Amino acid sequence: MNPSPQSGPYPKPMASEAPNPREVALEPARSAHAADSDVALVERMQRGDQQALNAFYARWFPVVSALISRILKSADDVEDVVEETFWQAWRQASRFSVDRGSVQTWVLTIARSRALDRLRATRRLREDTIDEGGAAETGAVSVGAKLPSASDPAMDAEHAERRRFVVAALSELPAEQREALELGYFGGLSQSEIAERTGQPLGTVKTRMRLAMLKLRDRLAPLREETR
Amino acid sequence: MKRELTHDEAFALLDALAMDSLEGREREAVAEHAAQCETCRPELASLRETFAQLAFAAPPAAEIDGSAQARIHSRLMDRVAADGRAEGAPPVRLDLSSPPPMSMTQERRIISSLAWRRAEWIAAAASVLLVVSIGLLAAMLRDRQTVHEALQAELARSAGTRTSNDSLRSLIASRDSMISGLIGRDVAVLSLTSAGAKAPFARMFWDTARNTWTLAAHNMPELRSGRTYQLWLVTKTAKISAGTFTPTNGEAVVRATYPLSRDSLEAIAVTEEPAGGVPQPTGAIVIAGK
Repeated sequence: MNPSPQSGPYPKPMASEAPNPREVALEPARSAHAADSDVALVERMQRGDQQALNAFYARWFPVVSALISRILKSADDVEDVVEETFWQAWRQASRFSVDRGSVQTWVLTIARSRALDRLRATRRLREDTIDEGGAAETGAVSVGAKLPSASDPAMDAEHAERRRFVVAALSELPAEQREALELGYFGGLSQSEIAERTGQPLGTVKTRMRLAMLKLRDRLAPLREETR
Repeated sequence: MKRELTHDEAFALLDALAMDSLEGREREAVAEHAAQCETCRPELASLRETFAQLAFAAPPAAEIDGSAQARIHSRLMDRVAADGRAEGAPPVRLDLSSPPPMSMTQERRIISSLAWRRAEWIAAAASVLLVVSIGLLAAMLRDRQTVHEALQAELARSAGTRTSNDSLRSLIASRDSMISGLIGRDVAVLSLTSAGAKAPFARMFWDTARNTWTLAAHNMPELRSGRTYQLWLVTKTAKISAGTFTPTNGEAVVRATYPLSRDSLEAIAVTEEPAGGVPQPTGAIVIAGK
């Protein structure tokens, strides 16, 4: 899958127009910084460079919005939390340190944390609800699905490839290990909550999750090398 | 008192910490150890990188289209602009430094060209002007501070309002969904009864078009500690768990989503089971019906 660079619904800026940060994000391939690495973009964000934020948004929007949409049901909640994620990335760019991990892990951790915060706040307001099609819906993963409106074609292609790889790795796990891992990641459940939800002893859940993580790490090692 | 973990104990829990699924003191203890341990720190970072990769398994967000992407971007840039951190727009600073003093020559020239009284008058006028200017400047700074504080308060208030609006919207959507699951055109109503003394009973509203199940249960006996009620959809070939629930004062409303053809449902039952539920029913049927 390699989305067309022209597939976005936005008008192109006129060549004679002054640079407009809002438009740069819509045409990132044309910007002078399109080839910046993630780390370079965050370093520029640390200096207050809005153009870097635009490029960063265009690059990470598809993955961030997909992750948040997987965790939250309401489209309004998804929009709010996507905005909060990039706002936090902008405000806290100075806290990022490459010594502690990759930009990918940093931004996806922000997105997941904000989405789970919203999920828990929403849960507190609702009556006890059982939704079998909720966070544990492993079968919803579809390898061939198309990414939404592409705004950075090269990165979208890379992310699509990464997605195939991760989905394939997950599908190789035994179903119960995959379920435990997904309840933890997308449902934000602790190990004891997963044990209660699945009706399994806590020790069994811990073992399953550990085995799953170790297998995934081996399988996804090539991706981590690329991320660095 | 908090017990320090051994290296082996902490190492065995690194995956759980990376997955954010530890709680309380255990979480703190493992994190503290990992921060200081040369072996655990890189291991934790590696596991966190692995865990974060799961984000890529999320299917693309169908509800987030190009217009939503542009809308979010616009709101983000508005916040960035309001934040005033943009490159090329350094913070405005007031220059409060004094003007350079006059040289002695200039001073002598002025003094000699004016009568003393006139000089005194000008000096007095200048002093008044200076005092007025400083007063105005102070007032402007106070106003600026007041406006700034009011703006901050308004932003905080609107953020709070938006959060509660979001919560209310979610709640209303949930209620709407439940109501349509009760009164929709394709809703079948099934009664669940028992022969018990207190006669617990329930009605199941099955929206066959949306595959939603809403159970309203009444007079349910109080559960013992460590026990839960579990709802079952019984077909000819299987007993499908539709979730667990704990009533409040004997009342419970339970919702589930599960696709099932009209013909395949044989019965609906609620059993009492160990907390957390079981894959197949083991306890006695409390209420059942079709």
